[in-house]
Amino acid sequence: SDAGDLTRFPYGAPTTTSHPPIHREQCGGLVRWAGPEQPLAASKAPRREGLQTRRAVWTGQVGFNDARWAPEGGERTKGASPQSSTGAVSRRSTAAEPWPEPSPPGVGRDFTCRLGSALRPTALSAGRWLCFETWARSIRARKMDENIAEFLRRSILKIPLHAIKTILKTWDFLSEDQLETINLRQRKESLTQEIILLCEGKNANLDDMALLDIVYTQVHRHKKLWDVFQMSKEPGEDVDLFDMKQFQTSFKKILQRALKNVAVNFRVDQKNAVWIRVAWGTQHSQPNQYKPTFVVYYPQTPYVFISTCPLKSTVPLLHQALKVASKHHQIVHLNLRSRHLDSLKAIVFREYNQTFDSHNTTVPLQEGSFGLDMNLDSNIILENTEEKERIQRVTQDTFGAYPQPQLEFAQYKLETRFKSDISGGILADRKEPLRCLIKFSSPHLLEALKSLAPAGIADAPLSPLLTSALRLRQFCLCFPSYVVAVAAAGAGTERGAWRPCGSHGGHGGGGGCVRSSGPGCPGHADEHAGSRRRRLGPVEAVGVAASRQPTATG
Amino acid sequence: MSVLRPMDKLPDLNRATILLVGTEDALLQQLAESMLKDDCASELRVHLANSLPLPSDANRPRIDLIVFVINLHSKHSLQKVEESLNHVDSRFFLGKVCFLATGAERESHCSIHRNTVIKLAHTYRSPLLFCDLKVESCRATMAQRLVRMLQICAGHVPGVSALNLLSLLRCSDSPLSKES
Repeated sequence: SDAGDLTRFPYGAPTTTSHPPIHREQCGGLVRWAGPEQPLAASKAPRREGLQTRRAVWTGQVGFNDARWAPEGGERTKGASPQSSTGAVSRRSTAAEPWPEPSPPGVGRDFTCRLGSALRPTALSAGRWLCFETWARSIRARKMDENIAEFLRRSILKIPLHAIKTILKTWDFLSEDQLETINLRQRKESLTQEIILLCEGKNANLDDMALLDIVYTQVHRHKKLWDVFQMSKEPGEDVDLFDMKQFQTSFKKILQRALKNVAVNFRVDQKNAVWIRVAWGTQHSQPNQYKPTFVVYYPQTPYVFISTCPLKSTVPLLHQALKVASKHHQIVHLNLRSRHLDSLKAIVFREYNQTFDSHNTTVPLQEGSFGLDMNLDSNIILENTEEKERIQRVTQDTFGAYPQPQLEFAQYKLETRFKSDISGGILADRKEPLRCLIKFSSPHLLEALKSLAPAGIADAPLSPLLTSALRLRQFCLCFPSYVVAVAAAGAGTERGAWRPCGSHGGHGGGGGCVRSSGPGCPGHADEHAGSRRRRLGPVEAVGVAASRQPTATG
Repeated sequence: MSVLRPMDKLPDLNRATILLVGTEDALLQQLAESMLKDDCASELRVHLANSLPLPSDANRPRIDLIVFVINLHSKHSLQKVEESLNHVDSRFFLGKVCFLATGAERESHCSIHRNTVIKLAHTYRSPLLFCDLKVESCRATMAQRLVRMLQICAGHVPGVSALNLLSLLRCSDSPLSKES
């Protein structure tokens, strides 16, 4: 009766203006969308023949696909809890998708739909029926849907456009033809909505979402900061056979026993590494999906890579679970932290993979290996070619022929004594050693160290202080908290001039490549302590200072 | 032959040989190419070395001018140059040795003070030139200057000898020169 009355629909006419009979094959039941004076019982949900009530009835499907819904669509989940029945209207195509039930009618609440407050006073008085699938199930699904959909929405918005197809394919949740239908040329928000619809069609749950998160993190490993831990058994214990299933169930059980609300998901990749995602909750709250911890465990090795998580209190529990599930006794933090997981793996696993061939000692001079153009003018004669070959050989022996893992910081703690020709100086008489912190930073630290000798900046072989960086234990890739000022400016050299504080070439007085602020720049001391990413100038060859005991952070 | 001597070989006809000694090959090579770019009446040869002593080579021509290239950013280069100076015969220092300091324009990166190289050059009674070898124009200018010095040291310029040039190059208002 009010079919033709389009004034009732300020947001656009419904897509089907006719009054088809109830689509039995589509709708499992009917719910009357009614005001508070007409609470509906849940039992009314099953299908009814005819739609006769005291009030006028309208059946049909209201099309929510209108673009005008955009603001509400975006806020669909904001404040949309089952309690407030607002905004639970989602944008859906009128294709065979089950409608969400806007409000649980059995509760007798007022349905204030965004569809129109204008509709409310007059239209609702007439009563409206909305057509949908089994609404009881959809109530539950909708409850999950809001959180899941929001999580899914945020996950997909994180993914750059060019990676969406590959990530969805790896996720393997949507079918091939569904993936084909996704139009990648639209705006991100609409693309997200489309994917959300497809996923809701397949009844995605939190586990699937977590899997998507894992896939995303696997592709974008550099978004997380990874710490390296090493687990160890008691000496004399047997090596157990590793069983993936048993590890996973054990890990999950331990966490769930300790904390009621954790969400644990696993994904095993081709290299037999298990990626674990843990979302932490508390005794009373659901897991926080937005601050998960990722763990990468290689079962054949004792090494675990854990992403830094803002929830610090969860760390001991995680360690405990890892230890018990993998049957180790101890877990220890190696001083390695980086965004580049592959570089960490290369460093850590070098003890297992001897990749370079030490028999290949005669390396011909390669073009560009010293930064030289080998197509020299014939009037330019290079002396010292043997020396260059020696340097190349030594560098190759130290660093290997393969590309270096990418590291950005290296930090050493150094204890040294002041060495001076002038006896009786304050610093020379000092009893305690001077404690220094040396920090190297570079976009690609190991390659820079490798190119020092060939570029002529340092002697080959390099100082063991630098090459010890290649050995695992003496690394500490942390952000420094301070830089100790070493008064090395007047260190027994003939240079009396005060170095301006901007020059960090190092003085070599106290020993080593010390990044020091000279005594004469008090005004800038804070600046040095605060600066974290200074581009280092050429690193100098380290002279040997007396009684230097490099103590690395262990 | 561990010590370079200036007069132990006969000169070649119309040939002038310069030896650039420095640790950073890239800089040396660019300078050498700049020197060879311009036309010159003499036939130029440029030898590049990281340090002295040079490996023994009977075919090496007589060296007319040695230029020690010091990068003020790197103490390693100064150290190498100082070690190499021990392998140069004292007669070279009669105008056939020159010091070239690069990197002075970026004061914040300098780990060697200018006075150090000034004193070094003064100790060896040889001229000191400052240049930014990374900038094309400065490098080209310096290359031309070195070519001119080389021609004089090789004796290709009539009326001027290396020793004459040395006394001409000695800066009169430098406080260090007053001591000599």
